[in-house]
Amino acid sequence: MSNESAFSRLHPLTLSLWFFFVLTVTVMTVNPILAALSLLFSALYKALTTGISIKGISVSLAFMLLIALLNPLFSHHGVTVLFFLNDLPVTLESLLFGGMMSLVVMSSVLWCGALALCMTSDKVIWLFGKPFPKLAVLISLTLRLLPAIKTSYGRMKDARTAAGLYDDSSPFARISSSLRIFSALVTMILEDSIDTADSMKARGLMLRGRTSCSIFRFRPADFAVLALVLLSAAAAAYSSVSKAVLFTFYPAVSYGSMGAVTALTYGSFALTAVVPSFMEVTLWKQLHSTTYRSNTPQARNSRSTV
Amino acid sequence: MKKRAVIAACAVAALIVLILFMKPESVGDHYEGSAFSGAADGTVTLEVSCAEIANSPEAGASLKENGLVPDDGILVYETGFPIIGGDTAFSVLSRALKERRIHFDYSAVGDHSVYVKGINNIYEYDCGDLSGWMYSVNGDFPTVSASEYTLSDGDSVRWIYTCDLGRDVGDTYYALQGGGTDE
Amino acid sequence: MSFSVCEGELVLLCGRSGSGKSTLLKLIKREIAPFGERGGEIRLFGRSEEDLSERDSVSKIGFVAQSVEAQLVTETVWRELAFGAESLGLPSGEIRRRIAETAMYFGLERLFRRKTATLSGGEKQLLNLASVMVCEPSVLLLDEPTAQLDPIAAKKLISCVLRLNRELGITVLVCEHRVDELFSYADRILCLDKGRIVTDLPPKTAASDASVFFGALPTAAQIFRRLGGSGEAPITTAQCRSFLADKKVTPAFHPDPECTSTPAAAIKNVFFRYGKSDRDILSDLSFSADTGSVTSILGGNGAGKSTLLKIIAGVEKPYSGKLLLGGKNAVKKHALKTVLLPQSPRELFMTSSVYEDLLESACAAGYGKEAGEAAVNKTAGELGITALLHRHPYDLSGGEQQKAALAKLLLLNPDILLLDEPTKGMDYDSKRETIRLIAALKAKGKTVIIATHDTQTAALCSDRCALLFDGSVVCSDAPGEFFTGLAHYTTPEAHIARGIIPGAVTSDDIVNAVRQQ
Repeated sequence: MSNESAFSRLHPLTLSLWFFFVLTVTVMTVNPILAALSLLFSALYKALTTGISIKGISVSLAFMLLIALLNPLFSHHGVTVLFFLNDLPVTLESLLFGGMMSLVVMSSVLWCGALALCMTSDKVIWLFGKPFPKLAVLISLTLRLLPAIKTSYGRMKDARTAAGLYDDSSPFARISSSLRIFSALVTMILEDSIDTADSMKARGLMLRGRTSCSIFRFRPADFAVLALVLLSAAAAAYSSVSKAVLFTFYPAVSYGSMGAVTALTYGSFALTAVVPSFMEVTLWKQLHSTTYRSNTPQARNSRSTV
Repeated sequence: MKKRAVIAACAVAALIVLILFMKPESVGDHYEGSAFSGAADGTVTLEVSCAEIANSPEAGASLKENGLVPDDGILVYETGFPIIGGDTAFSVLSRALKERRIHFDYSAVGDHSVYVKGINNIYEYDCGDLSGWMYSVNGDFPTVSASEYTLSDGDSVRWIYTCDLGRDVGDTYYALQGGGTDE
Repeated sequence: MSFSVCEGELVLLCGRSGSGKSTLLKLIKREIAPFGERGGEIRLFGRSEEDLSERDSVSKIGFVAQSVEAQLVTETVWRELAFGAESLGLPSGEIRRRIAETAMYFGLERLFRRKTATLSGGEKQLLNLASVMVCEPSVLLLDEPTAQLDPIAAKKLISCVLRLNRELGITVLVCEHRVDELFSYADRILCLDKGRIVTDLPPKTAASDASVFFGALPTAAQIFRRLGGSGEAPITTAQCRSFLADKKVTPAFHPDPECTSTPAAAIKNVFFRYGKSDRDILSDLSFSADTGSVTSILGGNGAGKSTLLKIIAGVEKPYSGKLLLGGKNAVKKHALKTVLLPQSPRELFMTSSVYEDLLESACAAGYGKEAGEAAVNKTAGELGITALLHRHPYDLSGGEQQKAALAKLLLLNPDILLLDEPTKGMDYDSKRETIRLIAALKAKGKTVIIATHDTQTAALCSDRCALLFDGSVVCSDAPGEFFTGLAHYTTPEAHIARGIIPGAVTSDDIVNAVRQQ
């Protein structure tokens, strides 16, 4: 896993709680400040890990614009009427709400991408495997089987193509050829599963008291991130109940006054959301410095003399 | 490549169709074009009221803050409005609100049915799950959509905001049924 | 039958296919013991089998089967290693220690976090062995563990097994066709025939004992037996060399291959890679196979042997270069009919009986219903599989599956047959049968191209051998010259004969050279 991001090295428990919290806030909020923070940091993380292209940015912006513009077509709520369309009012409030929605949707998409990047199958299995060790075996077995089936299918198709028995002259012929291979594939999988079952039995699948091992360790960074998540979650929960971060668009835009609780909620959410990017940047720095050192002639010379 | 071209063409076509069906008007044009012209076939009286919200201390706090609920809850006092043949409880309301420059939102359900969602930014569900706009003609609450109820000379139409599926404003339909939903 | 194995012994089980080797091994491992009527007693660790607790039976006895792929359970290497220890309910810390230790012992550290699907066959089987060893068994049962591996991976696995036996004192019972390495290291050779033990001797005595069948002997002992030597048989290359040293010999003679007219398949300056960003699998490769000849393509793993066959078969297209079949450009349309026998022949079977599968080919070749049935029966008769026609293809043994697959391909009336590793995992008898089949194909005038790791088979059946390395052909020659020219990558017989019998590369060469004196 050479392209593993720094954030994904955290313990699966930390990661899952972190994503649960950030995604919940992102999806549930109608507060544009929280939504904007969420988008900012999710975009930053994407830029740091997978990178972003001009094309990607323009497609995303067009998508966001579309969401923002579509909302006023369907919702005519709001006291500030801009103009009428097909006898119905188009309002400023509805446009603003659409804008907020586009922030929410975009940041949710970006965070889900980050989730897929960080929550590798190993971590998902850990989450389910701790309470249900046999479920962990099942998930792992399925995850192994899928690529194996794909490979076998490719091989069978090649074998038949080479013999001239794979007909792909028309879409219909292709479908029937594929189905034929697929039915044979099922037989083959069943045949192989006898060996797999033997291998599992031989290694004690039937024994009672199975455990689920993990190679993940709870490190100081996990405690720190977890503490931050819990603090932010508490702040967010309190302000949501006390309406400290309440933001309403309809019938007119209104928001509560900026108090200490509000500031704490925004601040702690921002801190939590910046964690992945922060970890990525610090890791990057280190890697950068080592590559720099190893690439200079002096470094190479000094190493060879040592 | 071929696939992408097809998708792009579909998107452009959809956009053109969308634009063709849009009829934008400025705020002034919209309200000015409302004046009733031609010969009237009769007169009906119309009243629009959200007295239930005005009378309840806890309901619609946000609406009251924004000054959307008059003290007595009457948005349109009972007034006579001219009608022509085929006018419905909906078309009279629509014309009256346009004339008074009051915000109005509705959605079309099916071919003829129209559902009134909000008047003066007071929307369904603003005062709980059982709240919304209803209408009565001569004291009765019809069971058809307002756009399908044709009015006749001398009818008295009331649009009333209910906070309790009509039970608080004198509709007995759900009171008799003992439940149901607002459709 | 009855036999016993002492602690720390390495026992090699031999026997023809169907002699009951696998059944015997599986009976010792209770969890996977076959159902059926049983008599007699199995005693493990000095106690009756029933007295052994479930937990001990799982942990104390390890079992590795031949199927490389199907034995894997999980999707990552470390989880596969942990599987057995998790079953035993060990705490996380203990499991982590064990899998770390095992991964280090077997040199799997670099693969630790890899997906099992991305491993090579040899790595997978090594992982299967390692994940059994995590349970710390004291007895290891190996059922043809190298059957699906190439020679280099097989040697690595066998050396691992030997290390386990020598360094950790683990008792090993192994049945194996590839005996050259194991035979001399084994403490005892057990030979099974029709469900009975016919031999139970230490290797040196066993090698000269008549009850051990020819195919179970290492190459050195086979030569000894063919020459009718007396006394203690040689079982290693060095012993065989000293046995031959004092014999008078004539140099091996290889007749020049008759020159044939046109190449059936020719490849000119072909470049191939699977994806744009991948490396070249084949680069500037030129190669040709004469009409009616047998050509072997040899080379290590990933040298591009299979890819080359796929290109000739038209499954893959090179991004540059020419493919000529019967002298005509064949990148777009094949001028000659080519068929490819895949490494695992069962990939060709689509139905539930051999007969139906053969009939499918007959129909594809344009036979009518009755003519098709006649053709199926004729081909089956020629290949000697008439008795298997109504069996399910998956119920056949490896050798039988190969014959059935070959029948299926022959019904398509091919001009060129491409065989991918036709002797992989085969015992001595099946290999002989395959070599005979290839000779029969040649006699019919078919062009045969074989991709193989098996130097012995290549030396016996080909008219020409080509060595593929780094995407192109390094050398190409008649087998006699080809295998004498190579110092390491050559036949075991050539190793034995080097410097003693010039030009000898097969046991026939050696035997003839000695007898002619």
